[in-house]
Amino acid sequence: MLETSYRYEIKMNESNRNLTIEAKSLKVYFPVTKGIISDKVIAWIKALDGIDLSITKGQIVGIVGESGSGKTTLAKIFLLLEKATEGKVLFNGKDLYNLNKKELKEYRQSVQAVFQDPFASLSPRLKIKEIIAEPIIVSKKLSKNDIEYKVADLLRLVGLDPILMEVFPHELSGGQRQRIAIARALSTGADLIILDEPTSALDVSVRLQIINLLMDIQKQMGLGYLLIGHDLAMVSYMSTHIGVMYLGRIMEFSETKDLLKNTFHPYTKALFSASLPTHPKHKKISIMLSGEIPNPIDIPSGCRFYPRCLEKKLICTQKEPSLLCVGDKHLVACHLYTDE
Amino acid sequence: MMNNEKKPLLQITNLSTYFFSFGGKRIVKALDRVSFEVYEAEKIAIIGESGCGKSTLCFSILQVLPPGAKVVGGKVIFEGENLLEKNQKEMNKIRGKKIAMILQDSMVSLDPVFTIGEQIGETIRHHTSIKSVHIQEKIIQLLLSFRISEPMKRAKQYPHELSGGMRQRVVGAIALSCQPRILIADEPTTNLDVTIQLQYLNLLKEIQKNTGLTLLFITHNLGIVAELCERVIVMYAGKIVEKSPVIDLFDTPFHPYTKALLNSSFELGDLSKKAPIKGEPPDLANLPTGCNFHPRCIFKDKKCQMEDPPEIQLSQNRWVKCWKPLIDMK
Repeated sequence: MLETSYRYEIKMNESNRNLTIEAKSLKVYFPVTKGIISDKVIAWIKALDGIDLSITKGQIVGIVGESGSGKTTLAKIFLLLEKATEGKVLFNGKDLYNLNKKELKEYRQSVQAVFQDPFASLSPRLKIKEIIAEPIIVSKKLSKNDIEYKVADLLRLVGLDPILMEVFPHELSGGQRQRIAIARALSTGADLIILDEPTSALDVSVRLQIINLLMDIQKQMGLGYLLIGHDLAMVSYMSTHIGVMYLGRIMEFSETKDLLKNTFHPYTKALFSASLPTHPKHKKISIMLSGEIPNPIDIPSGCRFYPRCLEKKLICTQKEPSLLCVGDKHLVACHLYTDE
Repeated sequence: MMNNEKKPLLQITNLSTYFFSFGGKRIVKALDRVSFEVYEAEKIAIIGESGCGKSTLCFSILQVLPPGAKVVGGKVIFEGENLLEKNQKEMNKIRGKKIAMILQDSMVSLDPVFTIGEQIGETIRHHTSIKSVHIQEKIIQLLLSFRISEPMKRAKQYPHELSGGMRQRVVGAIALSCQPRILIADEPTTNLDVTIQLQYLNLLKEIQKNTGLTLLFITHNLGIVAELCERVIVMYAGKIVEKSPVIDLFDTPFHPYTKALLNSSFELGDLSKKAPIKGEPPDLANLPTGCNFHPRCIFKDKKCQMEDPPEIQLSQNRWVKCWKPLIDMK
């Protein structure tokens, strides 16, 4: 067990409401303009190019991929920090971009985030108490007195001493700060938390503490997580489902257990084999991908992975494969598994 | 690999580096009596968490410490001479020529206003007497050996025009431009993606094999250690806590910290729940009494809290700094 005491009683999640967020053929393009002054668009950076994904309460959906594959843009869409160019985001079946003020507020309260760098995501001018209380004050759910109790409860939940509510972020270590960021995300009673590389700024010994804390909280409160990471071993340790992204598209999506047994897409295979051994005796011959991820302005025609693919066929250069079922809820976008 | 009759290429004895701030009132012991040897053509890993003194160790060897930091004791013997007794002018002839270094962030180590070719050429011009006409040839050759396609075109490009992986390879090419004897790599792949990281590690491995370079690899990633290195030095809070050949270390770690570190690394496909190390690394300005690791150690007893353990040799090439090494535990 973790050092967390779990005296905290979860009151806000008792409603047990269901929550699903769904992205439907989501596209996000960023314009590239010519020069600094001109607003003439000469090209589009295709950060996301047709994403279908759904996250429900209780699931941990892990997204892996190289930098530039659009993982963070996806997180930003769900946090309403970026707007989709095309496609829809559905919140419990309703279009996110057509919500009224009240519904939008509800959405913002039920979807929260924990970011990569706890040194940047906490305001240095606010006390811990103010940082955690801010979302509660905005949501106007609690009276002033109750807020203090709530903050203390949240601090205990994330394994910190409530005394720390009077200090400033710079007095805390990286691990403690990330715990504060988690407490803040939980303060509105969120059902879904977007975790954008929550442990990559932390040390090895502290990283596992935070991961276990996140998993314990998820299990206890039945939350949903969208976990973004590039460390495949870490993501598969945490998540129930894994999506592999490449250049703005999902190449493979499956339950974690299934994916660890069978990988279909050549890119997933390469990613799996690029993960380093944990023992020098386990060294393996890895599939080496040549080259690097292409520029998202100039996405290869056909399958976007074919220039680096070791198993490419003629059709791969001509037609973009769609995400199809190859097994028990196992989706793959690759021509090797279509009949053509 | 360890050969006791052979003379070490680099021998570091009792090296201590402190950071002084507030007019010397606050002393941070970044390195505390660190000793180890490096033999020719070895691949050594130095692992530890941030703040354990890995980078300070490299900077102390090369004497490029930031202001406020000072080497307060010890020796760094390289080719029979103590580097700590040399002045900056003499050190300039060693840095880059005999001991080269690759830093973590390639965007910082490359100068944005010069082309790649100019930056590689600068090092060569500084350290060798190759004629200008041949330098271009040498640059192309170096870029090719680091698998950079279209070297003629790349040499004329600026750092921002290259991708992260390629920039880090350029940094590697600069480091190896004068055939150094030791290459210190300080987390060179931390900013790279996994597939690019693997390319880079394989490249380093191949170059090391071909040139017989001595590699000192600083990292916190145990996977890289397992993949690349032969001998491991584990550091914790400014001190070396364990020295061992890589396979022995992964099989039977002697120090409780090493064991805990190994337990907290993830293996793909292993979904069993892992127990983390409690607490966080100590504040180097305010170290605990006794063993630095004792507040987090599950095996500690009274002695660990009172006295700093000595470094003990447990077998021919294994050392551990612990009162209660995990010898019988398998």
